[in-house]
Amino acid sequence: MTKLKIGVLSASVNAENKWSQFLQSEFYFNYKRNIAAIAGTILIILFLLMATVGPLLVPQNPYNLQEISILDAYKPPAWAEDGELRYLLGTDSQGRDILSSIVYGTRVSLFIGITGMLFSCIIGTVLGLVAGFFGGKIDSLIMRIADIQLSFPATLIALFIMSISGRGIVNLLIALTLVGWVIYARTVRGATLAEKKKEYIEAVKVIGLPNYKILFKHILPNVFTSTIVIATIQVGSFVLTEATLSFLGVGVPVTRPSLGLLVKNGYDVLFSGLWWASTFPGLFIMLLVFGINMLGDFMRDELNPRLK
Amino acid sequence: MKKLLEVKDLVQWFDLTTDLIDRIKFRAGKFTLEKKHVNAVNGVSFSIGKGEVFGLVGESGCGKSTTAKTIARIFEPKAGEIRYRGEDISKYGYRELLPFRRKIQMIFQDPYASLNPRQKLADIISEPMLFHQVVQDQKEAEQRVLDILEKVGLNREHATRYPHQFSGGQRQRIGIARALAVGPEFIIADEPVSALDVSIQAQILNILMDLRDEFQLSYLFIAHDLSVVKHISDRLGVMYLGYIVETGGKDYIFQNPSHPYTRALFAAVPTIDEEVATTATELKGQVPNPIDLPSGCCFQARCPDVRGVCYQEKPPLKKIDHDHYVACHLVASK
Amino acid sequence: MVNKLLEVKGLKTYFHTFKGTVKAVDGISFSLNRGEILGIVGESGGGKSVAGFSIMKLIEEPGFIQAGEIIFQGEDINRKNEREMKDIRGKDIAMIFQDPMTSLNPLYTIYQQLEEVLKLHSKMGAKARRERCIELLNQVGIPQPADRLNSYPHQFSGGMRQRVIIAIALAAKPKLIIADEPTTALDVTIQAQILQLLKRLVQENNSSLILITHDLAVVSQMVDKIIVMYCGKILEQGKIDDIIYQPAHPYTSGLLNSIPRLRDQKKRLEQIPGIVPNMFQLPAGCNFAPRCRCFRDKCLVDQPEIATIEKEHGVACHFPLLEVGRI
Repeated sequence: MTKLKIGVLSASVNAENKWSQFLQSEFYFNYKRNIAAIAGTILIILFLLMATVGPLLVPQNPYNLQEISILDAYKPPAWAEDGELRYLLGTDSQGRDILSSIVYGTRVSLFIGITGMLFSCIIGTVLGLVAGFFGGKIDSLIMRIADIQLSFPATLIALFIMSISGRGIVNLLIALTLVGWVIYARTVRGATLAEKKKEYIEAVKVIGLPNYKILFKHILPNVFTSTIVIATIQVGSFVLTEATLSFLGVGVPVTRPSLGLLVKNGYDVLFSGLWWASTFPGLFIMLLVFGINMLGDFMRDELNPRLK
Repeated sequence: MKKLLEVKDLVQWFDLTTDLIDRIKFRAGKFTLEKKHVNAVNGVSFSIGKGEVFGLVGESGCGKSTTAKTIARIFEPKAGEIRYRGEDISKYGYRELLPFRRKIQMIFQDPYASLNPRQKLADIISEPMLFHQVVQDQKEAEQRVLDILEKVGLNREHATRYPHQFSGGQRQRIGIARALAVGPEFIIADEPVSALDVSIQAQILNILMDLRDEFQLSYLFIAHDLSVVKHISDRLGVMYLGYIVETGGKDYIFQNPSHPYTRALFAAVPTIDEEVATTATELKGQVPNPIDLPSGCCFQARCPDVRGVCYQEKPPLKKIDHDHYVACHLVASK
Repeated sequence: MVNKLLEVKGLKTYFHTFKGTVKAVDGISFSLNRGEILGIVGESGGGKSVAGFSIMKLIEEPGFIQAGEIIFQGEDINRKNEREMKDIRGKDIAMIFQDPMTSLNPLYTIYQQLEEVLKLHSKMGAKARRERCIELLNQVGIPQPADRLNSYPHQFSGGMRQRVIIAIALAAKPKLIIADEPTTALDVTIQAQILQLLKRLVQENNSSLILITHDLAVVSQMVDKIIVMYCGKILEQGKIDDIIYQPAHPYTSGLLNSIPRLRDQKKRLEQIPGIVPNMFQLPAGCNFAPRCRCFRDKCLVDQPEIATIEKEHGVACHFPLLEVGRI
């Protein structure tokens, strides 16, 4: 792709300039006044910090057998009777610290949510672009597959795929991608159909640019905004889907438990009085998805031209 | 005069029923497959000489923009010839067409939709240059961008801005600059001023005329505004329902409008000139549906002087003066 | 005066956006007599549509009518509440919008849409309403009105829809009609039909009309008085002949000269240089000064007030074009 780097001309535009432009934009203006969006952002940042630097701060690596001790099992949260400050949210039946488990579990959950979203987004966007731009048979083919897939509940499809392929992070990502691409394909196709009728696309056709350049250089940047909102909310929904699958026992392997698997592990011992082992991981799933959705809702209102 | 562009019997239609399911119709007790076409251009012929401005006028839906976009090969022509310097390019594929893309450029109607909102002005204009290798490197491109910007009345500070930072008139200048970037000989201007404010229209029309004088450009100028077409063109064609009903030199047509539609069109133009009668014969009725074309003359439904023959035969373009052709049964040929 | 239907005094309509305040209409005053047709011309962003909407009190947030009086039949519309406005809108003042494709509800037949106005603003019975609807459609030149009553908007072409919209506007015999670019979306031949129709009906009903348009040629054929607006202010106002043949403001004169004429041929059009200023950063002095071909120092610092130069001919310019300077 030819990208003009005009030395003299572009000297005035640099990153700092872009940042100050953003601070003056309407998007930022509305963002500042939207408490839900700010709260969502703070939650997301906290979770991201937890997933990246969190493991350095917690008392133990719950999957390192040398660091856990069965003697510490069944400890309630710190504020309860018999609670220890070291195990802030208590321990499970193996003596693993719940808080540490949650920190490590968040890592897995977020990794699966974000990576699954990225794969879905890339595949769905490309298929949507191709379907919308070329139309005809290829469009019908892609969209019929999408229609069929949409007529089954997403969790059911994922459950089906996981039952065949078995537990594992890679299998999970494949399942989520197969479930998740449809929404991008449909949105991007719609946006492409609208965009390709505009005169600037006709103008580059008159210039003679080949189709792949028109598609990726001119249409893609203009339809991409519509996928950002979906992508944000999808991370949340993938975290939930993954939790569901793990809870049902077909998700991540037991050696790398996600938040969902922690809930399941806690659930198994829930009736023996260990309420904290499943409650706290569940609470963290809720907070994470809640944060993502609050930011996602704000972005949908701001970036959706139909609501403006 | 050697003709730069010759269009002969150009035909364009669009399929309304792209899905197979839409085509299945239940008629007279059985299922049939039917196609519905919008007949946008039904055999249009004209030619444009070097340095000439050919105006194409008509109301919305008459096929003037489709004609332009078919010549620019945004749409593939369904039938007919498009000869550029004698060479029929109507059936050329992507690669064969590339050298002609450099020669034939286009200016669009809507200054807001015709620029990619995510490209900087410098990129918009340099992209066609670099693609067609009109310039060798970035540095040369930069210089040429600045030259062209100056020609259309913009300056170097504008080069790093995005389209949304410009007004409608300035955007139309950018559109012109993009068309000029590859050094074309022939420019198709599809209603370039109709979306602009009055005071800006004059600026753009003047730029187009200056550029024609400077680069010996030829224009195919599409417009619905007769006064604009009168001002800018040397020759013109009046289109109705996908047909050219009258064509010829500007003076012939404006002094002696001969087709009933042309006459009605002239009378309908609001004008601030005193001499024109305000109570002109107004045209009754609507433009017919281009899906089911009438047999016979295309104007029969609205023509004040319609006769029996108009319902049966399509009138051919007849020569009535040196450079003046009319498609009407009621006008005697010379 | 008894004859005065509408008087607007010092109307200011501002829009408070996050980028700053846009003074869309900034202190305009004019009056309209019964049976008169007034044209408001100007370029996009000139505030002419906002002026029309302000008279209907149809300004929505972030816009506010900041100041001024809109005296309609002796009462200040600006002081009326929303409930009182509902009675005025459609009954006393009707509006015709630019886009005939979107101003009719596609889900209702035109009979239902016409009848609604009559139900709201008259005490007619069902039968009388039906007859009145047929009469209205007949008036606006729709053939076989009784048969077409139950058609849906999509069964009409653009020109026909605009006729239906005019019929709806006329239904309650309003005293004032505000038409905002009524023919801009239509073809030339259809435009001529609609304009003639509008003018005839206004005269027959003895209503007044405010015609908002960007097209000076359209205005010159239709109206009695003209207001030329630019950046929210009135630059010139007066009788049609005064404005068209003796424009005193350089902007009006420039506009008139920049239109290509059918009758005479010029090699080059005269043009007004520059672009319409950014509404957030209006010039300190005269709004038009940066584009004016005869501005002087005073124009850059001092904003001109509108002053009468002849009977009913007002101009907001420090140095109005004199007789000799006129073209």
